[in-house]
Amino acid sequence: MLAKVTSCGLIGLGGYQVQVEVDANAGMPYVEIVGLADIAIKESKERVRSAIKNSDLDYPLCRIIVNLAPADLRKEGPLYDLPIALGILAASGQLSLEGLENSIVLGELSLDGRVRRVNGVLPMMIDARARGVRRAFVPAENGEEAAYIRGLEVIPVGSLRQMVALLRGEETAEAVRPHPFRQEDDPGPDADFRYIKGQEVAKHAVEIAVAGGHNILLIGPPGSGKTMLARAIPSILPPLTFEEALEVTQVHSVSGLLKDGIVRKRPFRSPHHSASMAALIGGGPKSRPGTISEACHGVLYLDELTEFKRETLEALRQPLEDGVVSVERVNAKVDYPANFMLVASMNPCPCGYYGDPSGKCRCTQGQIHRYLSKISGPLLSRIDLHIEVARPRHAELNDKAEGESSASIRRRVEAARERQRLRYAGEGILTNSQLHGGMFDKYCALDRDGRQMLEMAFTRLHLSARAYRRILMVARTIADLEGCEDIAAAHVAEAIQYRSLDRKYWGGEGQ
Amino acid sequence: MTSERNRLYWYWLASSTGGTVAGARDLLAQEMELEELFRQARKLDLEALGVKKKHVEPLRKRAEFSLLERELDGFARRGIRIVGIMDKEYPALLREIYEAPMVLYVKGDLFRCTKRMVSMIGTRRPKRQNVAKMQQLAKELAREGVTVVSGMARGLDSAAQRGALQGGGATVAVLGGGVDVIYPPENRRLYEEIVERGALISEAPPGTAPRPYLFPRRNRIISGMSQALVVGEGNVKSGAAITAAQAKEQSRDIFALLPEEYDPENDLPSSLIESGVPVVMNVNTILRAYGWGTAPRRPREEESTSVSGLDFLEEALYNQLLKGEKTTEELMETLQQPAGTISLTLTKLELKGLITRLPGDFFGRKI
Repeated sequence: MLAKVTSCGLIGLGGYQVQVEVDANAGMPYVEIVGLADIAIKESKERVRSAIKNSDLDYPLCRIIVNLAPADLRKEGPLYDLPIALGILAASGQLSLEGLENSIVLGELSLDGRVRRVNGVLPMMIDARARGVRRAFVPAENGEEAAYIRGLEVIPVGSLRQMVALLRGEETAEAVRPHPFRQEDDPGPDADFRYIKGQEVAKHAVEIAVAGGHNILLIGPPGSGKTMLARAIPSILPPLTFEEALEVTQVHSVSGLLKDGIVRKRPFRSPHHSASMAALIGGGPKSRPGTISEACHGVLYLDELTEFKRETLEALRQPLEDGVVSVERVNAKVDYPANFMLVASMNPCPCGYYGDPSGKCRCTQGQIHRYLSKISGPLLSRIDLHIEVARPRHAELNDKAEGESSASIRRRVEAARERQRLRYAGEGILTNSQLHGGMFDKYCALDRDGRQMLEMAFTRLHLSARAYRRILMVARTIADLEGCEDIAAAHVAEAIQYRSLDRKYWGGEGQ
Repeated sequence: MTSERNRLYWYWLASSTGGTVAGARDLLAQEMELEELFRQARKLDLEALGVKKKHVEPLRKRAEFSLLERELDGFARRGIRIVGIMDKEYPALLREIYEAPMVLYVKGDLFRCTKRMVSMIGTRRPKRQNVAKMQQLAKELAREGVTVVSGMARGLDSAAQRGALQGGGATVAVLGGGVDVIYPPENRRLYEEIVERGALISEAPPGTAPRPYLFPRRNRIISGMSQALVVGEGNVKSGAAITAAQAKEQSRDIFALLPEEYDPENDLPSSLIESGVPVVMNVNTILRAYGWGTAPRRPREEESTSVSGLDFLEEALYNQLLKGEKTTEELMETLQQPAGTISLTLTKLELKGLITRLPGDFFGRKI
């Protein structure tokens, strides 16, 4: 007898329908699974056998063939355990699958018959709904995550026994009702700006970076609080919208990062500098999303930027430009979202103490130059602000009251973002950092004073040419933060201070 | 005998022996003109005249006009001249030291040196405050017509020579390697400026690579050229200490820059001061010591009142920086202004050329 159960597969974040066909024939007891299945699926026959036995059901003694259609797409993961088990039960006449019309089933089985959570449920549900599926039977632990898709009835399944009872009509299905989506507001004690003492300049620069969607590079000696600053950044980003949350959740669902239901906080990811290119950008044999996609709509923090492998950093350029990363491998080409804010930090020199008042640094200009040249120009030109962070003095750490809270900084950031959104309506961009081409003349016009100041800065301070547009963008954001429609000389002047790496003392000839 | 000829003989002697007067002492003590020595070199029993055995062969072989002239022409094409010890251009004080070089290879012009000469030395890895101090002192000395002598090394040497050039004075760089070898390489611009406005000298023939053992020897020339030696910063085991010891041997006057705080990396000045060396408070310490008068009080940048066209905040901030280098953070606190306002004021002052940005988010008065 032949039984068919519909399930789902994933390539990148795109889902496709998988038909699980099970045929039971007389013959020597034997199970064969075909249809480009990976090892996790091949092993599922053992899990399925035990699960069926331990659920007070009979495992048929006959020749069983399982086919996963379409046969030309590679399938992976243990999520077909439950559909295969149902197929075997139906094929051996123990169960009718009438209740599965217009439904999909997925879930991993444990040996005792319980259904375990699987990865990638959310993107599969999005695809299923698009194909007109009405009901989805998913592992109970994945229920919350799947339920955010409107128009899809999500039935959580705790065990094989329960699933069978549902299909036999011995139990009634109860769909998951999702919690209304709400951004989680409490950044937690380790990530609120109010707990960062001193560092007013750096905080201000970070606020500007967030307001204009700029990437930022923090340069400072060890212990200057670079990591602390970076960790607090998600708390002043505008709240996550539902659409954004859904996008991040898809990535997190596929990489197995998801803890409960949906991502409610802007992600903060800080890969170690030994991270491989595949880990950071995405890829590997299964074309998995990389850390940069996990940081989507949040912050990607690269600590010790100069320690990263050069080709890894170079690979960041395209996603930084497009907000999307294309992972191309032999068996698939996959796009993942990669719309993140890059926050990088590094020491000013190999020993870390260049410019520190302790005078510990004994690095030569040549060493510093070599150290800095690990970061390529094209990457640096995607980073609008670079600032130097000095080590806080003891007095500052001990005496000062709490700083301004993240919530209050965020209100200013949101106002500035709103100004930008209104100004760029119809331009297809959202923030100042996305300005390009002719938009500069249109939106970043300077008055005479401002122009003069910028010109003078270039001749006097020897700023590099690539700094020009960056300074304009940042000045635009500073004006937005202050609620000014025109960029004044003061805004330009401030923006100039945030181009630290363009200064000649960095690995050039001394003063 | 023309001086041109004479120089050639000195070159012959220097390039065939160790190069110092001390090394050829016995030979020079002979009652014989250098010219005669040169002509007879192949006949005389040089060893009997006190020449070291290893120098006999080179002296004989090289006693040939055409060969020496060809070599000197080669140097001249690279802009390098030879100054012999009896030449007028040869620094007078240097002539007196025990191991005076018989010839100097020169790029630039030693006639640019003034009578007032001060040698300044220090560490290659100085503290930033000392860089500023050294540069400022050299600049003010140069304004009083003093020629600053140093070694063009990284750190304080370069700072002193930059300062001297900024003050509009001449400066002499004594190199360890050949005068055509720019070392350290990042000093190319300084090198070129010194050729234009001072002199680069070395006792090592052109093309000599800067080897470590050359530098302690080079230091005796730095101290030997001037009556005064200013020690900026250094360790008691450093090259600066060797120079100071040599200066003492050459009976030169030593001055030390007052260290700001105790620092095991910089204990040479304090140990010198302990042994009775005078402290350099400012340029007048040196000027007075030699009766060179005192520097007139200039309407300098230090006096905020003389800087016109500053608004209230600019002036307040500038006055803060006169007290020493400060971070933006510190300025915000003292002036009670938000980060944006301070940044704006700093940029304005920077563009006016009054202050300069330093590594580590520090700002300081422009020297």
